[in-house]
Amino acid sequence: MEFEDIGRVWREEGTGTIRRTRTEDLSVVLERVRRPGIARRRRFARLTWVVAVPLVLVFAYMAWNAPNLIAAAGAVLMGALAAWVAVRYRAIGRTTDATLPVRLALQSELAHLNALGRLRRNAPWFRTLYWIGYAAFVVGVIALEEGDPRVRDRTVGLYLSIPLIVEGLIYFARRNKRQATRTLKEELSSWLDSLDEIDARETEDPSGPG
Amino acid sequence: MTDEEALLKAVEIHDGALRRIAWAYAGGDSEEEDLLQEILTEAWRSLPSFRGESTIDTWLYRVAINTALTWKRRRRKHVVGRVALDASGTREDGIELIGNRQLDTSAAILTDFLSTLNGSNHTVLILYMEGLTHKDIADVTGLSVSAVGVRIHRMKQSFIKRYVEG
Repeated sequence: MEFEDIGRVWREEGTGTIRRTRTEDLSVVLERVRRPGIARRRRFARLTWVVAVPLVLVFAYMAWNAPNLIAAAGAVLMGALAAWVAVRYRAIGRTTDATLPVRLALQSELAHLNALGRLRRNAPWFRTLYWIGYAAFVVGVIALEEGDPRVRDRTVGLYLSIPLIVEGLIYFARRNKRQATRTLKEELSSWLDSLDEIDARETEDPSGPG
Repeated sequence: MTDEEALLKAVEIHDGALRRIAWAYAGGDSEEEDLLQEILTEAWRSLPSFRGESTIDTWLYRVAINTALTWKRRRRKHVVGRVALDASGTREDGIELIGNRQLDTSAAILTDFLSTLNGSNHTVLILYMEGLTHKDIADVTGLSVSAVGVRIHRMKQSFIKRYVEG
């Protein structure tokens, strides 16, 4: 077998594992992906619709119905932070633009990951401010209200347990995500390095084929 | 002709190529169909951004390759059973490739050769085998035309050394 035969082998003979029979006409598949429902599901699956907007609405409701200014200020701070994170997250944009040349798409994806990384590195500051807002809300709602001290203590305990649970979940989620992101960045960097190597070798050795 | 009609026509023309690309990156029959649908979904979703800077055909190849690479990274699949080679060219699992009975067909040789290539060479070779010109390959990958030519030349030399002279 000669090198010049590989195109024919690839296209005509396959590699022994490509199925010859079509299970579905591609035009049927394409028609299916055109359905508006798919586009709608994708839109509503986005994080900002599903999580951030309801979250901001909840905080706004809490602020509007807060019993005092301290609780209202806490709710406003939490809502403002949620809105800011959502805006920053959307500003980073899609993971990759598949219409770009492969090299540019990889660079774009790597830049996207780096931008996400910067957002995550600022996360401790966001969470600190968020919990300050939360503490203000709890103080405003619980501590300044009169009532049975035992009930109030149990309620305070419940409110205090929420940050501990949330921080614990975030810790484990970040640990796994960090490893996956680091692996993905290594893969992208490796791909880009191999592409750059191709260009660099071409510069060093301008002799072409033949 | 509208962009939609152009895309439909391009998909029909490159039906076989899209399936072969999906197979090359999916590594499994059932997943090949999933990846193929992913490619078509991405092509349809990205169609509004097509500005005509390239032909619809090279644009479609870009979408196919980028989608396949993203899909593969999400699944951490190895392409075509790729196995790392040590300095002597022997697979790290100890199986000697040259003269192996498994390489008695052209298809087996091609599969074996594809498995020795790194990610970017693998993509360049697939596009080359699909009949794209060096210019088109450069347009799809973002490499220079001369770099594509040099890379194909080097892969040819590697192929000859392994399977013809070997």
